[in-house]
Amino acid sequence: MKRRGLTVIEVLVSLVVLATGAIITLGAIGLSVKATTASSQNSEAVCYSRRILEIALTPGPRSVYVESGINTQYTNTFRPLYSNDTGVAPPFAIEDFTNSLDSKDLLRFRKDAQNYTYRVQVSPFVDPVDPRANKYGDQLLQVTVEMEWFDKMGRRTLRTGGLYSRL
Amino acid sequence: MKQFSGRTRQGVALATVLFLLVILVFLAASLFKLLPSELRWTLKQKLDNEGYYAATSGVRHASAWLSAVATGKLGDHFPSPFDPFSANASSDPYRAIVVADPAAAPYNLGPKSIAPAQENTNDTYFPTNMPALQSQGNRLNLPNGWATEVTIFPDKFTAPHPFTLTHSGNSRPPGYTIVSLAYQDVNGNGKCDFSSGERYAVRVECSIVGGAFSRYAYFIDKWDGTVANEIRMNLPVGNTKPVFGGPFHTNGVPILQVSSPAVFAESVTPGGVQPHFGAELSFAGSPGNPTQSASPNPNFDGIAWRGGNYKGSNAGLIPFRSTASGLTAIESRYNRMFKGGKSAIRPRSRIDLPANTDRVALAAYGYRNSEPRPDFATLPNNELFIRRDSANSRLPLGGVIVTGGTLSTLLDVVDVTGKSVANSDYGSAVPTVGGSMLRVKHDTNVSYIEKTTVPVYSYSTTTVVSDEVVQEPGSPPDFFMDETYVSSTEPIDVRVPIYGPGSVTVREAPGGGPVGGTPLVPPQQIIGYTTQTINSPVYATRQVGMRNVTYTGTHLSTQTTVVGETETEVIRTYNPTDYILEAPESETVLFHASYFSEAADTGATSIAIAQMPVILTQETANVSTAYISYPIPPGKVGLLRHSRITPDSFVIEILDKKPNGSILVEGPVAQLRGWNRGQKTISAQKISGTTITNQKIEITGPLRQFGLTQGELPKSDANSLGLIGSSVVINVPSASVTSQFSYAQNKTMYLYAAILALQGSLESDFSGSPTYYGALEVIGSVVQESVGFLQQNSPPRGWSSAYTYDPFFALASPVAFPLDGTFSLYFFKVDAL
Repeated sequence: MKRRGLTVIEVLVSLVVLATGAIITLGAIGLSVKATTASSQNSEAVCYSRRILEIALTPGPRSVYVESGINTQYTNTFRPLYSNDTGVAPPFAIEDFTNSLDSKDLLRFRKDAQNYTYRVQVSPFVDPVDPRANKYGDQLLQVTVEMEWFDKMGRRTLRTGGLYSRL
Repeated sequence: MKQFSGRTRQGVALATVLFLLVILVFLAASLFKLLPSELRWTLKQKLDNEGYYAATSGVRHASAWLSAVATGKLGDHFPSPFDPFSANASSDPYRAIVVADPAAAPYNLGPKSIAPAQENTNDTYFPTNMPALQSQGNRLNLPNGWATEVTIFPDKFTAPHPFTLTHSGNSRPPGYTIVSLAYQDVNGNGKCDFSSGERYAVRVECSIVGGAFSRYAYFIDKWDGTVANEIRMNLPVGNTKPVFGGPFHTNGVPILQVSSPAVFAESVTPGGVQPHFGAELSFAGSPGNPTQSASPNPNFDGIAWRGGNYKGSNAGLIPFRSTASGLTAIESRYNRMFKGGKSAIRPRSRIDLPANTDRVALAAYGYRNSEPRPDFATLPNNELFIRRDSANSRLPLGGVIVTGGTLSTLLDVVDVTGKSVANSDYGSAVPTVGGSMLRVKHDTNVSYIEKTTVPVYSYSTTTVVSDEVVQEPGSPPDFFMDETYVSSTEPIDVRVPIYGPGSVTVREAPGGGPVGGTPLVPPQQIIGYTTQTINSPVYATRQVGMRNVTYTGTHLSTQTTVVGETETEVIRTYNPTDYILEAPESETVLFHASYFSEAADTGATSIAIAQMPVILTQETANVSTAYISYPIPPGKVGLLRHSRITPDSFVIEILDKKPNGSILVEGPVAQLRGWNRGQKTISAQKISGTTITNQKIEITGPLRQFGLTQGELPKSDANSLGLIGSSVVINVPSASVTSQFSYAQNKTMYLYAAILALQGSLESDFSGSPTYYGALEVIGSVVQESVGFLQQNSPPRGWSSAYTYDPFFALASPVAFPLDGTFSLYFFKVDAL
């Protein structure tokens, strides 16, 4: 019997089909990786903002309000969450954002956190309707944490807000 | 072996490619399948995070508003002051609603009912058609369109809960269940609009209970750590009970002095050495790094440790140490100081003393929702006023208002035979039966004219006619006498001492100094002398001429000769005295006036008729021996009102219900002492329009609690006593030393009370105190603007203080006691919806 190999057409069709499939698949994978990375960064930003908000809203020396008034450590300007030069800006500490002091954890945080900047806006609570609002609202402060970072899809921001109570 | 032929292998490549393609498609499809989930979960995480803070912000918003209402910050805005449920204006952030079914979504509160209502339990329940408060739209808006819908449900002790139990309701600070529902208000209409696809995302449910100032074992508004006589707490070795058994708060910086490093070496043991602080220590002051020493230790915990990091740098007197990585707590030391360890130290915001004490005034008036605010100026002066129901004059609506100050204020317990515990008919026994009695002697006296026959005397007197030895022509002096006078002055040098820092008066540390021992702050020390020139008087003697002059006429002196008699009108005065005697539900008590005489207060065993505050003149034949004896039936209240025309008459009235325990005295409260049964708050304050001025309370004897031996801890909150004044002054007169209120030197005077000194302190009046040290044991709570002077050491007199916390004040408070505006969280739950 005569042995017959693959025809050129077969090879070409196979290659085209395979290439098409591979392109589509790789595109999908690339897109997924991008989206997953974005999603992870978003999740990370949510965690960071939650930690910042939690510390800012918990009464104490690191809260947005101290005895002398609004805590001046919250500067209302974007600051890096972490920088190799200055570390984590006060009133926060690196322990606030890591689960342990394990060197791998710290290394990962230092690497990831450099992508983020944040700012905390603090303002007296204003009731838009009640003219006597300052009488009950003077115990309250409106706090907004804004995270900013960049990924392959561009600039990303996340805003989370809450009320601080001096009671 | 089977061989594949070329023909049979035809299409293998295609099949292989298709197989690989299918795998790739599956892979891609899986990724595409996973990607939306991943993104969805990320988005949900973000939304949950935002929703959580929106929902908890709703709770904070509600708490701040409730706090402002409770502390009177919103003034007279509400139809009913202090009652948030009277909010009804569109501008109010909350408005009263009725929730048809609190058990239904989205509230999901339960159980619906507990029958019968349990008065003394802390459970709460949510019946159908329950009054509640609900937030109005667009009041709390957060980033990304987040908003909250907050609903506030009253607990069963807080009006207007349909099952509010009035008996204990007065002593319970208000409690609420708050349900806060967070949603994204996409269309911005201020409500969760389900028709537009909006929905609740996060639900927070929590229970909060308001705090009254009585919940503090010790509270100081101003803690002055800058003067030589600073206030500080001495923490001794081997203390077997907490210096402060309950919460401690100062709006300044606490200064603690560990008496010796040995304190930290002691072990806390059951029944043995105890921590100095039995509960939390909170403070609002920020000390920074104390610098009043050459090489100060830095601040670590917000406390100024005297000798450790403040005015000294002894590492043995601070509970932390420096390490390479910074300051580190020494847990064993904190555990020695604080029952809760270092976590018991809590920096927090200022807690302001109440701006006014309107709450107790309105409670005393019997203010009811939606009434106009009472005008206290229209009440009759110098009376013991109890507002009555318009349909039933025997039914009190509120408490008691004394429209003026008091000269004497006695709390007593009287039994069926008329025995009085305050006047010591019980001897040293502790009464277990009897009714609560309040006796008030008004400080405004009543004058009346009494016609009387008085003798006519001849009498003589002398008068000076000349201050010189000069005889006037025709009127020579009858005699001469010597008189010393200052003729001139001359400068002389005198040696005067220079005093060092300190003062003769000892401002004793709270909780502190040993009885009769060395005060914590040394007395004024002479550190040197200097010479000063003063003008010294030069005295001389001269003779003055005197002349005798003789008159005849009406004179009250008995030193001269009676020459006749005449009838005249004499103006006499007396201070009216009123009483309230409450018979217990199952006891009759006897209103027996002889036990209420002030002569009995000072130990007299035989009461003369003239010493009776009131005597019965119409119902008995023999007025010289018969005293009033009037039985008060069980559950009833006898109100005795002294006549304002003559001191010898009075009116007794029987009321059907006890006043609510709030007692407003519109003036200073003087001579307060005795035994208390039932819940009471005595507030000394003057109300002029809407201006309230607090007045002083003077304590002249112990304030004991019904059913308790000296020093015994309360067994319930049934007999709690609150005192509110500008200051609360201990002034035990010397005469009392020999009476039934007497205290031998170094014995203890007990005050069972929650004391609130709004513009001053709990302090001693040294001018009236006997010259001895005694121990003052406050079983209750002390709240004051600043620490008062309780003892001095030159001459030694006053009181050494000790404080025992009444644990019932942790939850309940004396009637209508001012609220501190804080809320304690008892339950907290978050649901993602």
